[in-house]
Amino acid sequence: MTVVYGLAYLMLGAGGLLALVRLARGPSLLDRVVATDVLLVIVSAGLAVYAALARDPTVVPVLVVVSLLAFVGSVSVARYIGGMLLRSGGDGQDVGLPEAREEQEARGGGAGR
Amino acid sequence: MNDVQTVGDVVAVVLLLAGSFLCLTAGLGLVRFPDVLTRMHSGTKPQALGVLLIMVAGATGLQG
Repeated sequence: MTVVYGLAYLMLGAGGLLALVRLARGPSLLDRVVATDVLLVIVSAGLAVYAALARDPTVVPVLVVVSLLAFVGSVSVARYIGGMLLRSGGDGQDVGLPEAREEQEARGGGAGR
Repeated sequence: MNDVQTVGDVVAVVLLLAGSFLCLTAGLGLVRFPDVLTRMHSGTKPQALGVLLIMVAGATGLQG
């Protein structure tokens, strides 16, 4: 059982650390929103791993609260970005929203991938 | 600490490890993909399946 604890928390912790790397490095706001969402879901997955392995259902309300926090955070930032898009004249890149990789390559005149 | 005893426990442990591995791949794709939309793709789909597997494992583990 200890081996299963170790393996599960090792993988979840590595995924959380990679999400933290993207949260720190992410060039735009949307990268950080996606990284925060992934990080909160990994936290709730860790709580569910504890509840499953220790047969302890007392953390299930905490799980509900963390899931609701992730949902409300993502939806509120998405509505904020929707307001930014409504106020910008073009496709949103004049207010700091990111562009796709293909558009960057087409604009930079790169030779494709 | 209780050990793995029944078939349900084995199923729960396997589902748990598979879900944790899918969460790891979500983080990995979040770092390595080049673009917001591909990062969103890698951050949502393995994540949803991984959390689903972990919740099913919790349900089968809490039953016994």
